[in-house]
Parts: sequence; structure tokens; C-alpha cells
Amino acid sequence: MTLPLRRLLLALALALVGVVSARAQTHQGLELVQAELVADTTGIAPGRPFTVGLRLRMAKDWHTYWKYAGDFGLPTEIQWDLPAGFKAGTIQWPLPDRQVTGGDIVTFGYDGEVLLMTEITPPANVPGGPVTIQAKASWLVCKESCVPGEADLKITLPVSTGGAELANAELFAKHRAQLPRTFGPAAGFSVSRTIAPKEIVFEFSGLQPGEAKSLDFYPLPPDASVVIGDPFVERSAGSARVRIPLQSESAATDQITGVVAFDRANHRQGWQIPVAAFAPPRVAAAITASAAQTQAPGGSLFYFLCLGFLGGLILNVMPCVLPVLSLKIFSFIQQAGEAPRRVFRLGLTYCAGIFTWFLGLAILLVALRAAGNEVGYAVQFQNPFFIVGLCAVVFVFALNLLGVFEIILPGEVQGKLAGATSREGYGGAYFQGLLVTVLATSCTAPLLGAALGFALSQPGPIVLLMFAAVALGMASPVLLLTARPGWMKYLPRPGAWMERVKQITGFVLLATVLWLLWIVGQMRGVDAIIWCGALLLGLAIAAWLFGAFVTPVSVPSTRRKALVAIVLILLAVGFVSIHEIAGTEKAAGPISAVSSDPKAIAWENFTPARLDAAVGEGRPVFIDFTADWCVNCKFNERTALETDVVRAALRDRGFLALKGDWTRNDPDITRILKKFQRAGVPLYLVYPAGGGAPQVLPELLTKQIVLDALQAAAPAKSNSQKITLTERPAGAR
Amino acid sequence: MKKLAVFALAAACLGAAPFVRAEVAVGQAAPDFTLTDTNGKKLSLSSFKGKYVVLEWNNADCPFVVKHYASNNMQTLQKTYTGKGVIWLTINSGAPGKEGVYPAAELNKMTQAKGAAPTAYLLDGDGKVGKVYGAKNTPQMFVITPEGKLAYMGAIDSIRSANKDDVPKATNYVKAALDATMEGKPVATPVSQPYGCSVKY
Repeated sequence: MTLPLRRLLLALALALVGVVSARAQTHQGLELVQAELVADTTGIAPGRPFTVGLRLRMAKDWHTYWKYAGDFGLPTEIQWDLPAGFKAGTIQWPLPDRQVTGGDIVTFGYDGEVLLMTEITPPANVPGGPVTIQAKASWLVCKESCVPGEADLKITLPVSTGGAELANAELFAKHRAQLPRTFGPAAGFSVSRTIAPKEIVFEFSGLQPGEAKSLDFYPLPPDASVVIGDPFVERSAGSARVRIPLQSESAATDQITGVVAFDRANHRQGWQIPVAAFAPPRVAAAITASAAQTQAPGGSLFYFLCLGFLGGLILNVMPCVLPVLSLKIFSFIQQAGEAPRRVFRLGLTYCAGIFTWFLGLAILLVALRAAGNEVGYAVQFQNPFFIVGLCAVVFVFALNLLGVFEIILPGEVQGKLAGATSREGYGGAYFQGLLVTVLATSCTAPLLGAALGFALSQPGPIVLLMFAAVALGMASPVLLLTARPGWMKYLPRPGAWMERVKQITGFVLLATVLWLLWIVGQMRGVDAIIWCGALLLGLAIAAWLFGAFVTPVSVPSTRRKALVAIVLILLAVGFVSIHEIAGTEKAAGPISAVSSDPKAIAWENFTPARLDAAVGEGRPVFIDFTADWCVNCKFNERTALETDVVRAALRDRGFLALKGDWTRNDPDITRILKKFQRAGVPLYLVYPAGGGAPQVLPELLTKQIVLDALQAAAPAKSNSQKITLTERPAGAR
Repeated sequence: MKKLAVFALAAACLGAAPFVRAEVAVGQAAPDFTLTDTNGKKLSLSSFKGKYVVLEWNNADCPFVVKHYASNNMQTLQKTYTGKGVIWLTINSGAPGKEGVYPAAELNKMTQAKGAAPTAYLLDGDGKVGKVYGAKNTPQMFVITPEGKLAYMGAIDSIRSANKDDVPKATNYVKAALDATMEGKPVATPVSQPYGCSVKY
């Protein structure tokens, strides 16, 4: 049978059986509401869900009501009478309007027309012949007066095993566009909630001025125990506050949520805010999980300070500190040969360096945040000049360790000459402490992310306290060893070999310079690397001049000439290279190279729209927020994500894999990090199939953690197919 | 800084308006008022000190009010509790010409026809008392203790509908509040979300 003929027959069949009955509610001669059932299909396909809408058309100025009606009114109800095996979902409510009568009596309802949609799922086997779906609809319609109405409605549809087509497409499209979406990171704005004794306040930020201006909020109290007043909206340029008076004292107050709506792209759009949006994110890390069990959700300040301390402690052994950890060990070895008091004072100075950095960073963050910037902890690594500067500092340290020049601090000169050993002075200890911590910020260690994310959303003094806790954590091993120098005896005796260790450390620092140069290249291209190299060359010449001609034993006139030359070289090279680097364009295209390996995960670039679309389709989504300078991210990607088992699980379970690159400051990603109370990358999110809140994975991944999360988010089609590493055939690794 | 200033200004302009209502809250003193009843007599709330008082906002043409009168629910409550010395004040805050607003004589006839038994039917045509109490619905109920404090405010019962068949199935909050306070027990539901038609201010 050709398609046109089939369509014709279908149309005929519909004309015969597709009976749509409409009912009108009349009151004192006026037709108030016309009610009818409409379907979005011309026929029922066995097992395939379709949508039936209750279409209510109200007389002018008369309203029917939303699921929370407000000060008066009642929500419309539908009682379905379905054939055996058919199942009905819940009513999908389009966005309501706010009606204000008598000054301050507020209701949420519909004006003109509404289509209350319900998904109907037929059984896999539907006997032939037309199917009649019946419903009893009841509503309250009000203008000045209220009149209850009800109607017994039915719609009859033929059963078709393949020929069913869309029906009433325009009507359904119009009303579906008015269904609120579930609020998520892709919504492009953020929401917070404050519960006070007498009111609950929802605060929306990150909005466009037009969005904030058109914003309205429709509250949803969880049950009758919660009595609320009318929501009052305070709108400003990029944000809005919704204040709702609380009239009852109820344990369920924290379950109050609602739907927010505003105009975006000339179209009114709404988001249902899930209560889970206000719960702290689930962090799967074993340590936080066990700690969280003993703590109230949200965490007290003390708990977060402990996390900060722990994070700081762990920073000592993170991959990004590893290159310079040897530097610290080296300084211990050196100090072990000295007087205990001096050792402790050196230790304190070292810690002062650590504290200087963290507190300086905290003050800077607080200041920047006050200036309205969205800043994260590792944000300085997104500024190429920060990287270039760091490059220069690390390079100069390397030259120093390799013996190109010595820094002799005033007052230390005598001791230096007399002792004839390479001592590190207080200045040295201080800058070592500073340098090590600067390098440590390139990756947020486990827990530290959550702790600092928390801190960034707090008032200034708490941010400072938080960073101090991190600094204390990082400094504590050093403090301990210097306070109890007895334990230093376990460290090797100092000797001539130390000079070799020092030189080797210099090469480790040069390797760090290479890594930093690579980041510069990723940000600004080859030219930037070359100019950065030129800057380093200039620094090397200057350092050599300093080492060769500016020594305590050199002739004063030579020393002066050398100093002039050094200053001139530094100025010239510094100016030219910085100028040239500033002139380089931002590197084009995606920064993280896409692997050419055909088995590699099919990453797509993260955009809020892409995430929204996929979550809307009910597709499970895995998101990797990463950055080139984040060593932890790269480590996770290589050891956990780009592995055969994880690749297969993502593919087989139909995951959409999104990669969000934060190498350059991307405001969309910054917003999401902040939302999940993280200050930096990595952040891994797993959105379950069929929608819902995402699971947040820990910052250090193992294959099993990823597999478990994927399993939970999108159970395999066949039963009991839990993947574990032990079940894999040996050799699959 | 500028952003903050604009926000503060906007909040100050918009924020002030809807929050200038006297606080009516359970446990607090019920605001005093004086109104004229359908017999032309002036009555003050303060004159009933030492007695339990029930306030009932009324609009005879509202389907939700009809629900509780057609089912005889309201009349039964009125008779039961006025019999125990409770003062029952039915209040109509509808503006002249609005739905449910009738001349005093007409209202008296309607009261008699329904077999209703309030202590008095009070006229609040300018809506002042209704607004002080934040009454937005008909019916909307308040229970006041002999000390003049609010013991209950909200709906008449737990089933939000206009269907009189729901009356026997519902928990009557007014009855529960009166019974509990009279026995010196705490009120289980001191506040509920009222339901009904809007008060026709």
C-alpha cells in the first residue's frame, strides 16, 4: 500500500471513529469554560506513550488554576478512566499567570486557554478496534465570583501499528513550550534559598537585565502543613529576590520550592527548582562521605575548616607539588645540620611564606569577588601573564640551584663567608614556602575543592579563615619536623653530596618550566612560547652577569657596570617579550587535543544548551570539566577515563560525553563549578538517564568509581549486569 | 557599588508596599475592632474579653461557603459552640455592589432561612477589619481565646474543595482548635492555608 493511500484511509477511519467530545460549562447564561480532550497522535501504537491534553477554554477574564492556586481557587483535577493495561502519568502543568485581585489577593492560574497534558502509556498488546479514553475533569473557574465546573469527557482513537501520525501538533507545541524545565546547571542562572523564621527567600542571580525584569515566581509548598503568603518579587539589574512570608511553623518548610519564569529570547520560559538544588552536592569520596555522616548536611564551619586543613596536608603529596617536593626535602636535610632553635625559626619562616601566599590569595579573591567577578581558586592559572611570571620565577630558582648565581642577603654575607657551606637563610626559607604553595594551587587536591568552594560563597572573614586552615594543613609537616628536630635524625646527614642534590633539584625545576611553557603555548600559541623563551634567555644572561660580576669579592666598579647591564637587559627583554606575548592572539579552536584513537571517548564540547537538550531527551550524560594546566585532570583522564572499560561503559550505556575546558576562563563553566561548590577543576558530573540530579564524582578517580557511577546513572538494559573490574577477562587491561 | 545602590533603591521602593499590614499571628493578641451588625448594633471585639470568639468570613454566594451551609456543617458548629458560651461573629467584608453583599434585612432573612446561629452578622463594607486580619477567603476562620489571643487561623477544614460530600471526611480545624484550647491542650494545627473564594473587597 502506498503511503498517500494509507493516509487517506487513516483520515477516513478517523472521520468515522475519532470522536472528540467537548463539553461547555454555562452559568447564568454565560458559557464559562469549554472542555475537551485532545491527543497528540492520530492513532494508538501498542506500547508507545502518547499525550492526551485536557483543553480548557475560559470566557474572557475568567480563570482556572495551577497546581498551587494561591490565595484562593482550586487546581483543576483529572480522573482518568482508561481501558485495561493503560497507564496515565501526572498532569504536566504549563506556566501559570499571576492574577491580582482586590489589591493583594494573588492567584496562579490560566487566562484564555490551557492544555493540561498527561502522558498515557498503552500496554504492549492492544486489541484491535478503536480505544476510548475517558476522563472526569473538575475545575474551579473564577472572575469576581467562583463557579465549580466538571465534565465527563472522552476521546476515541484507532489502534494503528505503524501508521500513527502526529496530531494537533501546533496546539501541543504551543503549550509544551510553556512547560517548565527542571532547573539544572545548563539553565544559565543560579538560585539560592534562605529560610528565616518568618519568611523564605529565593534569590536568582546571573540573569540578563531583561530576564530579571520579567521574572515571576510560582511557589509550591510541599503539603498542607506549610502555610505561605504571597510571593513578592524584588527585581534588579541582573538578579531577583522572591520573598515569601511563612505563616506556619512546619518541619516541611525546607521542602518549599517553586517554578521561576522569565522572558528569554522573546519567549517566556520556566524552570521548576528541585528541592535537591538546595542540598549540598553528593560527593562520593570515601573520606567526605564518612565525615558527612557525622555532620549535618551543608556542614558546619568547623567541618569545612577541617576539610581545608586536610586538603592542605594532602597538597604536600599531590602530583603538582611533587616536582618541588624534593626542594623541600633538600631544605630539611640542610637544616638538620644546624642548631635546633634556628631550625625551628627557619621552619616558622617557611610557614610564614605559605601563609603569605594563601592569605594574600584570599584577600585578592575577596577583593575581586567584591568587584563582582566570578573567580575561582585556580583562576590565576588562566592568566597567561601569571604563567609567564611563574615561569620566570621557577627558571631563576633553577639557575640558582644549578650554581649560576648565589643570592646573598645582607647580613648573611658574613655568615656565608665564615660558614663556607651553602646555607639557606630566612629569606630563602620564606621564598621556598611561597614557591611551593604557588605551585600547589595549580590543582585542587581532593576535599580542598569542596572546602574552598564553600569558602568562596562565604563572607570575607570566613574565606580568610578557610585559606588559613589550608595553609596550616600544608605547613604542619614542616612545623612538626622543625619543632622536633630530633625526628630529623632519620634524615640523611648533610655533606658534599648535597651540592649534587641541589643541582638535580635545579633540573627538576627546569622540567617544571617546560610544563609551564607548554601551558603558555596552549593559551597563546607557538609565538608566545618563543617570546617567553626569549624572556628566560634574558633572565639567564642577567643571572649569569650577577653570578660572575656581582659578588662580595668583585671590584666595586665592575659590580656597578654589571648591575647597570643587568637592569638594562631585564628592562629591554622584559618589555619586548611581554609586549609581544600580549600581542599574541588567544589560541583558536578547542584547546584539549582530540585524540585520534578511534576507540577514544567521543567527547563533545560542553555547552549549557547541549546539556539541556540531552537531559531533556532523558539521555544519561557524563561531563568532564578539565583544564590543560590541571595535572590531576590529565592523570584522571589517562588512568581512569580513557580506559577500555570506561570507554565501553559510556558507549554501551548510551552516555553523551561532554568535555568542558576551563583552561581559559569560561564563564559558563565557572558558574557550574560555583554551583557545585567547587573552586576549580576537575569536576565530574554524571546525569542519570531520564533526568534528575547529577552525581558528583570525587576529584581523584579510579576506574571502579567511574563504572559504579555510570552503572547507577544508566542501568544496563539486561538484568544484573553490574560491571566490576574483577569480572573483566584478565588481559583486558 | 553602583549596582548595589540601584538594587537597594529598587528594593526600598518596591519592598515597602505590601508589607505594611498589622501582624496577625497565632499566640499574639487579636486586633480589636468595632463593627455594626445587621440589626444596627455596634459590637467591639474587646467587649467579649473572657469568652472564646470565632470569626467567620462570609459571602453567601460563594460556592465554598455554600458547601458548608448546604451540608449544615457551619450551622452545626455555630449552634454547638454558642451553646457552650462561645461568641460567633460572621463577618462580611464585601464592598457594596459586590457578590454576596445584601441589605441588612435581606441578610437576616437568609440567616434565618438557613438556620444559621451566629452571635452576630457584622458588616465590614469598607473591608478595614478584613484587611487587618488578612482575610482573603470565604470562608476563612479565626479562633480567639478568652485572653484575646489568636489560637487558630486558616481554613475551616482539611479538604480543599467546593464539594459538600467532602465535609464528613475532612478534619474540622475550628472544632479541633476550640476543643483543644477549652481543655487547655495545645492546638495541633494552629495555622492552615485557607481555601475558598476571594473576599470581594
